[in-house]
Amino acid sequence: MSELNSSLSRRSLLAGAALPFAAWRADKATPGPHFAPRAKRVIYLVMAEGPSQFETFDYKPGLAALYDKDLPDSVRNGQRITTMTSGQTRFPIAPSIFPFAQHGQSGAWVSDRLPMIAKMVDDITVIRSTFTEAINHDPAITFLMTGSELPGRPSIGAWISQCLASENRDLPAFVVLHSSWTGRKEAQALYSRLWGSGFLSSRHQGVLFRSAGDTVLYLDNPPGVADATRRAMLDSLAAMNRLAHARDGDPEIETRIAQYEMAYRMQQSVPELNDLRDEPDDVLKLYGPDVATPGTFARNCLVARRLAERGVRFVQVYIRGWDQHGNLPQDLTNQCRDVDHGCFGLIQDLKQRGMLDDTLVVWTTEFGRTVYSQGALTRSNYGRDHHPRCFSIWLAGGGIKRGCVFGATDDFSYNIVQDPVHLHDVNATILHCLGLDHERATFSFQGRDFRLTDVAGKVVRGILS
Amino acid sequence: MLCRSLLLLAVVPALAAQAPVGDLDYGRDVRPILSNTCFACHGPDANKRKANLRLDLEGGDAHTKSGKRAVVPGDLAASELIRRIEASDGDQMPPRSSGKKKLTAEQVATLRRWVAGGGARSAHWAFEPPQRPTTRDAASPATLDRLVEERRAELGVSASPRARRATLLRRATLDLTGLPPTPDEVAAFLDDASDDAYARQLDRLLQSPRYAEHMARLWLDLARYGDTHGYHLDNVRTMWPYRDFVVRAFAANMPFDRFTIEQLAGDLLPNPSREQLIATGFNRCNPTTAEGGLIDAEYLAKYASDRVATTANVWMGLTMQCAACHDHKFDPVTQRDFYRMFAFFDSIQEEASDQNAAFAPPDIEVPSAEQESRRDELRAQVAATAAKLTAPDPVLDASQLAYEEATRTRLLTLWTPLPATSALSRAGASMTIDAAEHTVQGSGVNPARDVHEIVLRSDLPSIAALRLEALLPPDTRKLGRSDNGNFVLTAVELEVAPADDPLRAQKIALLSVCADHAQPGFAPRAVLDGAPATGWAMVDALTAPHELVLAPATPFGFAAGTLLRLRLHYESQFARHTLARVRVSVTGDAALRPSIVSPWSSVGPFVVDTAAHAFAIEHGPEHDPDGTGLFAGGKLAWQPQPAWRDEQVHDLGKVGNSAIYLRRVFECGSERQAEFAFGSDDGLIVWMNGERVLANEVMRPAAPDQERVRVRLRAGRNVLLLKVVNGGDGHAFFFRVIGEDVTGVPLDVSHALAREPATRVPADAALLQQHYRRTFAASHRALEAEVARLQGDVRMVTAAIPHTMVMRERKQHRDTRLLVRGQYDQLGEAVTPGVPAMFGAPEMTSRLELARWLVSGKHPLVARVAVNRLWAQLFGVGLVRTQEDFGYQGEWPSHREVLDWLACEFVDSGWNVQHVLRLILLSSTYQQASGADADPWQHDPDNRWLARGPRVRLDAEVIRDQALFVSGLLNPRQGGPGVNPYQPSGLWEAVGYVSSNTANYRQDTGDALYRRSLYTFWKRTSPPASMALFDAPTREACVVRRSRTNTPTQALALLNDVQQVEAARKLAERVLLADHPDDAARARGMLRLVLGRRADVEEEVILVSQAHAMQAHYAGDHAAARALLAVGETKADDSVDPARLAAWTLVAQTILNLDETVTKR
Repeated sequence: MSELNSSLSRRSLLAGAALPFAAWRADKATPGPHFAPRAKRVIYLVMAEGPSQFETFDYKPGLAALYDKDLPDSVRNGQRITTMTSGQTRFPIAPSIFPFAQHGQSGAWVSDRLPMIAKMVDDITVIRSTFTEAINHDPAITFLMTGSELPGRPSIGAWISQCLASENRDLPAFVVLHSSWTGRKEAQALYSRLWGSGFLSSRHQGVLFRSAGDTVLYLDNPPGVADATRRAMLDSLAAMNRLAHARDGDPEIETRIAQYEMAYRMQQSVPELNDLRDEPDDVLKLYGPDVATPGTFARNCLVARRLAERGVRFVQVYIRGWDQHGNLPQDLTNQCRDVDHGCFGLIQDLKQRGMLDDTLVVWTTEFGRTVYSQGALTRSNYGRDHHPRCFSIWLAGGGIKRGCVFGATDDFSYNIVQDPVHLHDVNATILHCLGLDHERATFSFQGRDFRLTDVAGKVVRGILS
Repeated sequence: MLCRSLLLLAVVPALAAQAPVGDLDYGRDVRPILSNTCFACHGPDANKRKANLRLDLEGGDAHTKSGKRAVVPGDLAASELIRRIEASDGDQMPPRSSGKKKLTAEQVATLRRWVAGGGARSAHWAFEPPQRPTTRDAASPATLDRLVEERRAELGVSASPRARRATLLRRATLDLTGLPPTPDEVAAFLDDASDDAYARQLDRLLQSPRYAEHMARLWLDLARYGDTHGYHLDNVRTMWPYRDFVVRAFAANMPFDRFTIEQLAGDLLPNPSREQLIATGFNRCNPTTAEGGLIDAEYLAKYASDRVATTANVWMGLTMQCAACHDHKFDPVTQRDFYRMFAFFDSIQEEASDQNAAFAPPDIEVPSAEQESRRDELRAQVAATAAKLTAPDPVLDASQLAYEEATRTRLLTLWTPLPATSALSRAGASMTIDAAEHTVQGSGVNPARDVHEIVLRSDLPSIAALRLEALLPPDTRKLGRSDNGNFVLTAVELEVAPADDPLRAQKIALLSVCADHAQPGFAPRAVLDGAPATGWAMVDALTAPHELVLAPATPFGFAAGTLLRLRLHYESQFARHTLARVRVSVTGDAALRPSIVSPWSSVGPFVVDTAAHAFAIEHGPEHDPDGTGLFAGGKLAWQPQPAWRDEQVHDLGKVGNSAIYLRRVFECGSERQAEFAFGSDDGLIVWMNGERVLANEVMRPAAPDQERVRVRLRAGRNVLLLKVVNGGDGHAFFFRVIGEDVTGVPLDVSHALAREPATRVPADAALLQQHYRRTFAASHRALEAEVARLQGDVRMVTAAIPHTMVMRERKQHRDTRLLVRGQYDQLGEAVTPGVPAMFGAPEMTSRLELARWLVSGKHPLVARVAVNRLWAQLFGVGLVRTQEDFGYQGEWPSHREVLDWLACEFVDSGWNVQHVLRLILLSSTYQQASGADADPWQHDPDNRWLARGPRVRLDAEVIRDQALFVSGLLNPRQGGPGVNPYQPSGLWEAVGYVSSNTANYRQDTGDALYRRSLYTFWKRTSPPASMALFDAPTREACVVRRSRTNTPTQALALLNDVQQVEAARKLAERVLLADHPDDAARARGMLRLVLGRRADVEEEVILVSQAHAMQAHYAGDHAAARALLAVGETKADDSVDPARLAAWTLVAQTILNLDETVTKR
């Protein structure tokens, strides 16, 4: 790994001892924005496992008449399907059993499963023409987060940490939150590579903020060690380390002293992030009743806002449970309820604080789902298999149009018919909003200049405000 | 990289002066500029090449469109290259659109000097064989020092003095064993005035088992070793025998050439030993998946690509994976080269899916000597006992003949096969009637769902039952026509009509049904239940014939003969699950009808003090054949349980330690055999007609088919009695009928008997003998039980034997093709195995030849790459900083002659790893002090000039192991499965696939907590948290170089991780229990235990005053002291005052958190 890791902290020390939190601070090697950013930070909501576009944002009224009819071969056009359904002899069309309605000035169609998001369609841009290549979860979500199906590349948060660092000396640039869920119990795995740093320095990996146990790993002092006791110990430690520095001159020792001080400050500042006593009732109400329960998506949305407010560049909120191969109506309903109010609260809260102008919110997933039913199709129950060729996501805030619906799919939401948006394009656009040219945000490793968007990606101009 | 060194040269005037004009090296100074800025469009990749210009080759500009020459030797004005890089208009190179930066003034100046000086190119240094510096080739560390000193002289810097001896021993001990020295070891070294004292210390360390573990741990990053599969479920994978092989290899100082050959191709060696096969696990360590819906070809290509990338990177320092999609942009590696390497790894006997199993074939067992001999012994017993089963027995054999004759006659008259007059498939399958065999066979198209309609004629006046035989078609030998050979018969309908008046058809209601076998959840009853989705199926017994017997309430038939129209429905969700071949027979004998089974009744619970008691004592129902008794002083009576269905687990309530009895009556028309399956929570006893046929005293949750029992039913009434015993909570049972043979003879035996004795095949004879002896010879049944018991023992021993994944070549090699753009489904030209053409190597066909070529001693890269890694292990940075890239984009070596000399020494010493380590560790270069004044830290922060000794933060594993070691906690046990030490709760749970076997973290207890970190279980999607914070890789891919960060989260981990706090307490105990005169001595003793050196006075003062202040604090708060001392699983020593121990625990934490403690210096 080239120049950044080993000598980084040393270099920041050379730059002046005024950077006590060297590890999470920008240093001279941090490129910084290439042009004026529209967004200073990102809140990135990950709907892991692929929510169905049919029951959320991609309204297909024509399907009702085609219930249980076979998907025409001309639509599928020989495209590969997963081996979970490739053995099926029929591909019966399953229309959404949930009604859609138009909302807001923009008239965007949203299903009745997402009543709160429906209320705020004029704040967001829905992209109905997102696509990707991978058809299975592991490679697809790895691609979503790192731009490559294979492990080993840095995640988007690590890239942004590398390029922009944190605005807050006391907090990391990249924070990850995991949510509980009530949809399908049998959820897919997540992988630490999804917020890993790949070949970038490991200081760029996402730091988990947890709802149970230590908020940050190892944050709490052991039992019997009070704050003052710890402080006294750290004083002895610093004194010892200073003696070593006087002997050996290694600037790394000074960095280490600073990092211990930083750790101590984190112990003071981080617990406050989870303490919602200073949030007024009307704010809590925006996020819905789940906000009272630690670990829920709604609560994590509020914590994400608090982190964003304190200058964390990239907050990622994961929620699993969207893998509705069967029993979709019930499980998807639960899952929508998990996220609907929290999303609404987050956007409204950011808006009323004036933060939506420079905060980019992304609601995304690794792929969509098939128009045809997996397993038995009845009037009240069905499932859907993976479908990478089109799916719906939305973005809002800094740099993004408000009240926009972008791209379109065919009558079966099988193929894209207008404005295809590859996940590389989404990533290029996110970087663009942050003032970064995705082709210049590179890192040299193994002799090659790597980037988040590999050798592809173009900014989706049509959704920029 | 190189640019950076150039910049460094530029900012240090003293150094710039060292590089006079004219002393330009193409490889070091020029090619990196061209490679980084020009080769992407004017280099080896033919597809991306612009203007037909190649700057990586001499004469590569001869045929450009413009006709101009990029480089005209000595003529700057005529050289288009110079004009373009200096241009700022549209001709500018690299073009603005490329995103590449304009060349710096220094770079332009360098290229100008190069062209002016003749523009000569030389081969890339790393692709030329290493040259031994001829005049100084003694195999002595002094050679290394001379070479380093020459470079220092060029740079104008001088060496540092030798490190203090205590420091040096700690450095060497950490470097070779990953642990610090003990105070005794330090003292012995300080007292040893002999000249070779240090060398003998090195010998001691190289002999230590800790050396092998430390070296193995470093190798495992390269091998991407993990204890889980890595993708998707990330289930447990047992590869630790490979990990232990690596430890053994280093312990034996296995020559690196052998180490290479065995890992890459041990399976292809003649008669490979078990150890050589285990070694091939290296290239089975790649992550694998079993995700539902995976596409095999896609993943097999990923696996082979990973092996190419890893092998090329580890041995050759080449980044070959770039060439998976296109020719390499910088290095002379084409896409074809990549797929020729790929071909070496494309014919492994592996499946794309690892099935989420602990090991995916090819694999081998790795038994201990004890397991091996125990199993051999048991197998011999099985063979001996089994031989008795078929041994001739004149008496039995004679009576068997008589039985066969009598039974044959009986069976031939029992059922009358019916000729079919027509057979149709509703969905269009071809139906063929065989008049001789009375069979109907389906063929041709096999739609997802179907109904077969067969019309048959019977001349029996009265039909009491029908038999449908599922027969094996001669071609496929599976009963069903689906892909897996199964069938699901979802319904049977029957209409009959008089033969002379076919239009007078009427439906016949079939009321009872049984089969000789059924798969769980697919009972024969389902063909009569009216539900289209449910049916009778057979997944576990598809290669033998089976029968279904159906009976109406009353017999039917017409005097003139009867036409039967039988409809067989196949309408489940399982597509194409039709029966391949059937035969229908009828009987007038009502005795052959399926048995009539009563509903369950139950009595209980009989509550007693313990489950064992409940199991052992009789409560009364055992002796109540009629099911009319009252028990427990008249308080308990039989209760009918009409709602209890078969095939389901029934809850019997929460009643604590108790027994419940269940009873059921089977009415049979004839003597017959049946097989039942049971499940129970917890213990179970079963009686059939008063005979105890099963007793199992266990504690378990109930599940289907926990026990299977064969019983004989007599004609008339049969009573089945169950006693279900419960301990603790949860009381439940499960029951189903696996099968019922209405004739008393299994169908395959019937078929064998039906054949004329002369036409029987050997298999028939064996079957008949087994059937006869099993039915009539109690001694045979006992022998069978004995064989079964012994086989069970063999299975137990076998199941406990670990497996490890290995390489094995497919017999038939795959035809490897180039994958266009790296896409698994875009097949390009066919390729044969081979290495990149640039090496000019002879043709080779196997991995073994590849491995031998790598370590032939003539390879330009392998030895250099290996010794560079050893150097980096010791100095923190390689002589080539880019350890993973020795190509054009790699960094120029800081000391090329040192690298080449060590590479030659490595090969000439017989690839002796310890020889190279000794050369380096014995050098004065290594032994320099690592502290320095401020200046060198600024000018040479990474110590590339080697003007001081190495100074590097310890690796994650070493930090943890050191804490365990100095506190006395370290458990030195070697080898075996990975262990789960302390970890913050919830980490696996937060990410794990819910049904993965690594979804929940189960921490170990006892001394398993304190094994070396090498043995910590490595879940790749959530690697050990404390190690990940200290830059350990995830092990999902080969990592040649770890980053080394310094972060606040590391501080938190060292301060608050349970393991660190516990280690501090144990360290404090160690010191407090030792014989020290006062606290100052204790402080010194503690520091010496950790750092191996004497404390300074200032340090002593700080530590003692901290101890006193903390002791005062905890004396006033004993609860806090006790809380701190309770951290960790070990108990605090009672003999030490808690306040005192708590105070010294914090002193110990202070020392364990010192920069010096986590640094090798």
